[in-house]
Amino acid sequence: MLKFLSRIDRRVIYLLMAVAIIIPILVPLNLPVQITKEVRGVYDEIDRLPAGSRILVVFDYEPASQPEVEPMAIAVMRHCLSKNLKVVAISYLQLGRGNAEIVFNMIQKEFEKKGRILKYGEDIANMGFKPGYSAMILGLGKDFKGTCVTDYMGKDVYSLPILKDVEGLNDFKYLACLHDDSSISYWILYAYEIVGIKIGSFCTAVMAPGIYANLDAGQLTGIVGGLKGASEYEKLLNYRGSATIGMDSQTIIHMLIVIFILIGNFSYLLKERRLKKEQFL
Amino acid sequence: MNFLKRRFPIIIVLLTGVLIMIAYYVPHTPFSDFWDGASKWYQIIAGFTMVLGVVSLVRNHYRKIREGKQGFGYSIAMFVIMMATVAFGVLPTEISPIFGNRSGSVFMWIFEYINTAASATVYSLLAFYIASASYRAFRVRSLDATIMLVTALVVMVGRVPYGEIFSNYLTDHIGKGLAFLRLDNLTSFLLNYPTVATRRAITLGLGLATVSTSLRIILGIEKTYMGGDN
Amino acid sequence: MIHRKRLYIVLVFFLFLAISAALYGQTSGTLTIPTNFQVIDTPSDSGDSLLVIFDKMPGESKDKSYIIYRSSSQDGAFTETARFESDKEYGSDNAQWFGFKKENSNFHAYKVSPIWQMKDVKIRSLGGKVETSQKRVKPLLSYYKIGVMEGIHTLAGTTALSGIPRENWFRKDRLNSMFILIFLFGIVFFFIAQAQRNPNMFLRKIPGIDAVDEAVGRATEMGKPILYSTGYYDISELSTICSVSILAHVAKKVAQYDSRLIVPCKWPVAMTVCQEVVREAYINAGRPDAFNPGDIFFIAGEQFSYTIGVDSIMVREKPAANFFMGTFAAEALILAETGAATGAIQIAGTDSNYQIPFFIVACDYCLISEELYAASAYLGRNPQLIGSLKAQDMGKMILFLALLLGTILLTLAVFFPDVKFFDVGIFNLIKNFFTVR
Repeated sequence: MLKFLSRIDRRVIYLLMAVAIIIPILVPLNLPVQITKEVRGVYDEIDRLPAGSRILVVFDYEPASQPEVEPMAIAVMRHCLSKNLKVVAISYLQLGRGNAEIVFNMIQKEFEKKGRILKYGEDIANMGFKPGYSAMILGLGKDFKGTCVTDYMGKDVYSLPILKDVEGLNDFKYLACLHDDSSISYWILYAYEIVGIKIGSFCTAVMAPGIYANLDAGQLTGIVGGLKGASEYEKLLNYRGSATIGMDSQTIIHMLIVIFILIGNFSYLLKERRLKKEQFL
Repeated sequence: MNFLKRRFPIIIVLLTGVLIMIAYYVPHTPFSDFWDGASKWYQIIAGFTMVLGVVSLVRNHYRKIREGKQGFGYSIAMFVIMMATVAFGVLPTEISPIFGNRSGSVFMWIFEYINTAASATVYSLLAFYIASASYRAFRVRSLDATIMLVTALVVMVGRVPYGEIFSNYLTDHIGKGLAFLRLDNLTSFLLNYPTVATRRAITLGLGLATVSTSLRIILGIEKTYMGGDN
Repeated sequence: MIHRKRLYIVLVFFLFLAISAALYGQTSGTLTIPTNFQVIDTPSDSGDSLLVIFDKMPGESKDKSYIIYRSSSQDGAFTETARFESDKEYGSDNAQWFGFKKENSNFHAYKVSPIWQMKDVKIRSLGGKVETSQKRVKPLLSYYKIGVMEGIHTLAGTTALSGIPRENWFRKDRLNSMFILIFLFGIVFFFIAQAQRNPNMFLRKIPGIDAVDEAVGRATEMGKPILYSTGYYDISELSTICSVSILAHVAKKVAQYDSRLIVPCKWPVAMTVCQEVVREAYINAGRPDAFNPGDIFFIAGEQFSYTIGVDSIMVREKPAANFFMGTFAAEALILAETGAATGAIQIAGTDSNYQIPFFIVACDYCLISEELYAASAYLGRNPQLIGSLKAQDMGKMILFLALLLGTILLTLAVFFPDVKFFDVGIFNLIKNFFTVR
C-alpha cells in the first residue's frame, strides 16, 4: 500500500484532474451559489446608481486570465447596460485593449438580439490602451479627455457625446477595475485617495486575499474574486453564465485536491510509522 | 569613458530621484508636470529598447538555424510568424480590411484565437501543478505545516458550494450554536483577519525596504544595476 | 359691495403669494438651503479645483441631494456641475484637508472643478489624420451656488460665491510624510556611520542565500548548467535590481567553478544589464574567455511566452540549480513545478505576496519579500548596505510601537467612550501623523 501510494505518477493526478474538470461541464451539477458580502458590496453600489450615470470599467487583465476575469467583465457590463448606465472602458495594459474589444462586441451583439442597439460613443466607449501607469491615472483624475485624447479607434474623445461633460474622474460615479495583477493599488492610490471615486475590484482568485486589506480600509466597496465571485455576480443578475458552469468543475477539483492531500498525508504517516518501527527494531 | 560609464549614470539617478521626491511635495508647475513628463520619457525610451530585444531574439534564432542545431525548425517558424504578425498589424486598413489592428483584422484574429488561447492554456496548467504541488507539500511534518494544512483544507472546502452544504448540515442537524464552525464563516474569518494582518505586516516591511533600497540607489551606494561591484 | 369683496379676496390672495414666495426663497416644504456656504481653494493641490463647503443640515438622508451650480459670471446662467447625496461628502471623509477632528463631520466639503480657459490644439490621431482638439490653459474665476433636491422638488440658493484655484507651493497634507521620510533617512545615515565604525554587525542567517554556494557546487559536480530568472518586471523595478545584485554573486561563483550560467530574460534592458553584470563577474574571476553572451538572451515580452520558453530550457538543458529571483506573477508555480520535476535544487526570492506560498511549496529555499532586498547587503557585507538594513529594522520597530500605541488607545476609547483624551487628543494626533496622503 505504502509503495503504491509513494509511487503514484504525477500524470495519474493530472489525468484525474482533467476528468474532474471535464465531467461537470458535460453533466452540470447545478450546485447552489451563496452570495458573500464582498460581492454584494460591488453589486449594490452599481445597482444604486441612477440611470445615465457614467461608470469607468478598467480592463487591466492579460489574455491568460481571460477565462477567469471575462465572465466578471460580461456580468458587470450586462448589469451596467441593463440599468442604462454609460460605460467607458480603458486599459493601461497593451493586451487589455483587445480584451475590452472582445467583451464590447459580445455585449453589443447580445443586446442587439434583445432589440436594443448600443450606440458607440453614446452608451459605450472604449478609450483603448493608454500608457503611463500612475501618470496616466493622475492625468485622468485631472483631465480625462486631455489624457485620453483619442479612443481605441483613433477618434477624438471631444467628439464623443458620452464624454461631453466629463472633466476628470470626478464625473464618473464608479470605477470597476478588472485586473489580474496589483494594478488596483495604483487606482486606489491615485483615483480613490486623490479624486475620491468609488472602486470595486474584479480580480483573479489568487489576488483576492491580498486585497482584503484595502476592502477593510474602506478603499474598495467590494471584491469580486475569481470564478466564485463571478458566479455570485451572475446569480445576483439571475443568469447562469460560464462562471456558474465553471464553479461545478471548481467544486469537484477542490474536493479532489482535498482527497489528494489526505492520501498524501496518509502515506506520509504510514511511512513515518514504518521508519519508527524499523528504528525501534 | 570611465566618467560616462560609471559616474554619469549615478548623477542622472541622483538628479532624477531628487526631482521626483520634490515633485511629490510641490504641486506647483513645473513640478506637477514633471512626473507626467518623466513617465512619458520612460515610455518612449522603453519602446525603443524593444529593438534590443528583437535583435537578441533574431540573433539567437538565426545562429540556431545557421548551425543546424536541434529544433531549428521552430526558429524558422518563429521568424515566419513574427514577420506575418507584424506585416498584418502594421499595414494600413485602407489597403484591405484584413490589415491593421481593428476588430475583424487578421492581427486581432491572431490575438484572439492564438495568443489569448495559448496564454490561457499555459495559465490553466496551474490547476494541474497546484494539485501535484499540494499532494507533495501539504504534509503534517511539524506544527506549522499542520496549521497550514488545516487552513488550506478549510479555505478550499469553504469557498465552494459543498462547503456551504456541509455547513448547513452542521447547523441544521447538530445545532445552531455551532454556527461559528460553518466553513464559510471560518473562511471569511481567515481571509479577513489573519491573512490581512500577515499581508499588512509583509507590506509594511516591504515599504521600509523599498525606502532604504531606493535611498541606496539614489545616493549611488547600490551600483549593481550598472554592472559593477558596490 | 361685491367689487370690494372681490378686491379683498384678490389682495389676500396676493398677500398669501408674497408670503409663500418669501418662505419659498428660504425653504420649500422640508427643503432648506445649507448655511455657512463658502468656496475656497483646495489646499495643497496643483491649482485645478476648488472646495465648496457648507454646514451639515438636519434631516439629511440619501433621498435628498445637494446640487452645485456653476457659472462664469455672477449674473450668468448657472448650470449643474455636481450632485451628491446629502448624507455623504463630509469634512470627516476628507482627512487629507481637514485632519481627524470630530467637528469635521459637521460640515460638507465637495471638490469642484472651475471653468477653464481652453485653446485649440492640433493632434495627430491614430489614422494619421490631423484633428483639432482642445487643451486646458488656465482656470478662470468661477461662480457657485448650492441647491437642494428631494424627489421632484428642487430649491436653488440665491447666494453666488466665486473662487479661482491657485497652485500651491507645498502639500501641507504631506508634511507628516516628509518628516517621517527625513527621520528615516536620518536613521539610515546614522546606522551607515555606525556600520562603518563597526563592520562586523550581526545579520541573521538567510538560508536561501547561504544555499547559493551549495547549489552552484552541486551543478558543477553534475556537469549541468545553472538557470537564473530575474522575474516578471524590467530593470526599473527594485526587485529586479536586487535580483541582478544576487546574479552578480552567482555569476562570480559560476565563473570560479567554471560552470555554465543561463539567464533567459523577459525584458531587453534587463537582458543588457544582466549581460554586463555577468561579464564583469567573469572578468573579476579572471575568466573573461569563459563568458558566453549567447547564454543571456531575450525570450519574449509576454508573460506566458516567457514562462514556456524557460520551461522548455529547463526540460531540454536540465539545469541542476534554478534561481527565481524577482517579482513573479502567475507563472511562479509553473516555473517552480517544472523545475521540481527535472530534479533541480531551487532557490526562489520574491516580493510578490501572492506567489510566496507557491514558491515555499515548490522550492527548496525561498527568500520572502524584504529578504530579497536585503540579499545584496548580506552578500556584499558592505558597511553602507548593512547600515541601511539596520535602519530598516529600526523603522519597523518604530512602526510597531506606533501600531501598539494606537491599538491600545483605540481599545481604551471603546471601553471609556466619555474620556476625550483617548478619542480626540493624542490618538488623533498619532492617527493624523501616520496617515500618508
